[in-house]
Amino acid sequence: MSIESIFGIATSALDAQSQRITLIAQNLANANSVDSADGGPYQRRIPVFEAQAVGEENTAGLGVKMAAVLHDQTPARQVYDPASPFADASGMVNESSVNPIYEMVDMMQASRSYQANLSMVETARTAALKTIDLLK
Amino acid sequence: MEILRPEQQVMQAALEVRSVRAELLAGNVANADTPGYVGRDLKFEDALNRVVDSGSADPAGIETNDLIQNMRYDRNNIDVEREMAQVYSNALSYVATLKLYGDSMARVASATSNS
Repeated sequence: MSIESIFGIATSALDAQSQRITLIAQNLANANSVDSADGGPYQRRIPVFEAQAVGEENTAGLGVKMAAVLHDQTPARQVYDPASPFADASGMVNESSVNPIYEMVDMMQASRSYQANLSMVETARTAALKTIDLLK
Repeated sequence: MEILRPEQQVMQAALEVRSVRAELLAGNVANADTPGYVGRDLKFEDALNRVVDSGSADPAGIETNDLIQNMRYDRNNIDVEREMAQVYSNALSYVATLKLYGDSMARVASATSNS
């Protein structure tokens, strides 16, 4: 049934968008991290979305999933801070290339998309309830 | 003898097409941020004719929307505002058809009840 599969499609998008917001929070939190498990400063994480069918049966509409998380390869920002233990011989420290303004804009967009999918659930719910009301 | 009157069959077909279209629109909104995704939709009248003629629930004829003017640098052309407007208008038509269908069925029920 088509109306029911809207819930699956919208839920896949809600999932993907909230994972995206989680990555943005991680990027913002690590904007000043000069060291990471991979060595070097923290690299911004970029979510990659991919359209995919939801559920077992083939539905007309496609859901979405977060297919991969990429690392931003932008070169580290070099800051002069000779007092830092991470400074090289010339006193430069490699800092993360995370741009908080960019992250905030991305977060607004993600939250708008989240809201759009939430209203999709609400609309489908109303249509489904009205359909069930036919049985009265 | 057909139990369903012709207009009831058309209304059933319309509900079917409306719900498939709702699903396509939901997919478009879900993929608003997916690189390379282009909008998918179907022409309501054409799809309705196909369902009425064939009697099958599958309207087929899903078209991709290749509007270049909306195409972003990630090759995605979904305009969420436009899609949401379509979603609401489609849902409104669905509910209106549902109401007509329900009323029509109620008339059949009242005509066939013996009280």
